[in-house]
Amino acid sequence: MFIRGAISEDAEMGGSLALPPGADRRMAKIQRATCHSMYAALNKTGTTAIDAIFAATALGCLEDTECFLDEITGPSTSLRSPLPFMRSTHNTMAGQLALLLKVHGPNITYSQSLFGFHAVLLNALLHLEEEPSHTVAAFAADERTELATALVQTNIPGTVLGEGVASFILGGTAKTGDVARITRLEQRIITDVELEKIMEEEQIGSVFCSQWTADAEFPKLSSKTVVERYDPATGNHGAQTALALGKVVDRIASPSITGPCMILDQVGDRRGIIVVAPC
Amino acid sequence: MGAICALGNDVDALTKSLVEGTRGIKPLEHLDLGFPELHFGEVALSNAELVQELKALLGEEFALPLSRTALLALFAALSATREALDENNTVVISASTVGGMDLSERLFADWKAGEMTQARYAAEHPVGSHTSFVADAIGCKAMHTTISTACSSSANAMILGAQLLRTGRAKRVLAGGSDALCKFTIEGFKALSAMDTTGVTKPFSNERNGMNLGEAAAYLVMECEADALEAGRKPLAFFAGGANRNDAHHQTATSPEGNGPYLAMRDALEIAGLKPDEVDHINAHGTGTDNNDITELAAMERLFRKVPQYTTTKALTGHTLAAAGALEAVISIICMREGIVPVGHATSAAITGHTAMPVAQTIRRPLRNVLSNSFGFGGNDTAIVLMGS
Repeated sequence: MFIRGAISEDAEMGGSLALPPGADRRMAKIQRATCHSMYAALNKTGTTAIDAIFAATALGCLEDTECFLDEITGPSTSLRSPLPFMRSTHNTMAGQLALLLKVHGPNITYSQSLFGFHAVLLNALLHLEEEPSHTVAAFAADERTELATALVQTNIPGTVLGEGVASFILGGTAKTGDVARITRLEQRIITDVELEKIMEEEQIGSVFCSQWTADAEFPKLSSKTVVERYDPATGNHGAQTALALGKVVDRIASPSITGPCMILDQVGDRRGIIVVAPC
Repeated sequence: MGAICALGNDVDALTKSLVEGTRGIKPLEHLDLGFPELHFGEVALSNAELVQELKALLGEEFALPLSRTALLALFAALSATREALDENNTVVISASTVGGMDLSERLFADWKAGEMTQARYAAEHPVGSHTSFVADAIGCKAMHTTISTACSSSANAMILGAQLLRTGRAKRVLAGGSDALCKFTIEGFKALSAMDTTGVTKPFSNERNGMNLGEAAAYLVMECEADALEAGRKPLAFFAGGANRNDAHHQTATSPEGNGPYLAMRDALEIAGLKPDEVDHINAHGTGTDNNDITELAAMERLFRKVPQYTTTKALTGHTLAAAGALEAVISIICMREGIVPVGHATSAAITGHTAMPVAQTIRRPLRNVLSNSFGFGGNDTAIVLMGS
């Protein structure tokens, strides 16, 4: 699977857009950020038509969710605005993009802590294996609120909840201008021994790790491999893997990286692996 | 397959209810959520009773969740995997719209006030949380993930499951979904004026005025036919095909022509290798809302020269949101096995401008190919085709 282009920013998106005039004024913050990010990816790659959209979010449109919770736990009223409820749905962002870009093809949103984006890439791969000529839009987005930050800090002291959006344009066949390709995806319980074997098979030169808990230990890896922790740069949140992939794509052509890279996420005893190679 | 819903706590009870034409819609009895004016499809077990049942199945040492969505998911998933399959290699694909919201909404005011003694339960809020409980309970070491595409979620879980099996990326898949009734969704659909306030929903009737919400969890074990036969298991049914398409019209309303539903049904049949006239029965999405029923009917009339006998079992179970696709797949398989087309809501008032009516009484006949529709917010439209074994 080939990455035509990537946009990876940490939160607030800017820049010129091709959104219909006024469209983003009606959007929630996370919707707006997602649209800005995806439109930037489309512009960057010169993509004009998308066949399928795959998305990941761990907590969805959190601001709207809290807004509606505030309404229903507050004073009783017979008149409630349905807007925050409508926008609280996890697939709001992917649906919004389908609406704006007139994409009638598959539109799937995943939510599984750090592993949502791993499933996004897997579904994109399955789609492109069936339809190699198609173009897929993939993204992950998560936002933080004061309450979510307080809950995370209470439950995992030392962890600062982040937020962000990253967008990718993917294809099934090689094309001039592609920035990287994804050669392996795994999400399951993977032992250290299995991990070493995968790294050997894939000739991994660099590993980009994350740990949700700030003080957790890295997995034991071969001393030959360059290991870098990516989450200090991306923050800890459900979209961090996508942001990490964006940063890996930016760096993969540089001489500082030799051979394929592995993004490695871990939640409990489960690991998620994305192997990225230069084109 | 395993299911728990307003029509029964297991597949046998669900079968009996369908055959006897029982309706599961009534005022709440087990959940203390208020809304005495509304009818729901409520599971007939309290959270305490679910915990008791699950402790008997999983042992005292298994740390059970507090969220009802996760409790229902565990109950149905364990029922589906009762045959002690090789769970280690079973991929778990679940679905939910609001996950642990039923728990979060009870604690939200405290959390907002800075009272954090129960902050640990925030870990059950994400929609994927229940899937992790299911994966742990069945000893799954393979991939697990959660799809959240509103009311089409678990139908999409089945499509992903079929793709993973077809490409050899999974040997076995547990696919389904779970959603519990909670104040958040009830208030949300009330705010959208989508709830039937007169009693039981009247889908595909000109007199329809909204839906009854329900709750359920339903899971199906999917594997390739050759593997099932080799292991001595006779398939209950075949997943012949499915398609997820987008209406790209509005966040919560379907286009007047039903473009998304039409594309989903058309492409699902094409993938299944069937012509429209080979469909014996449609389990329609049929929520009973003004917009859904007229646009779904428009799409069915566009695709089928003669619309097959159709029904909506949401008039029996309530709309179970993310669980609906898997629950209605289970129901469709029961219908094929029992040779029935169940009646949802019998109406003599056809929707203005349309002639195709849902079945008005339970029909006994052999069913070979069943189409099941699940549509959701975000223009997310899914159709799956099931074939009798």
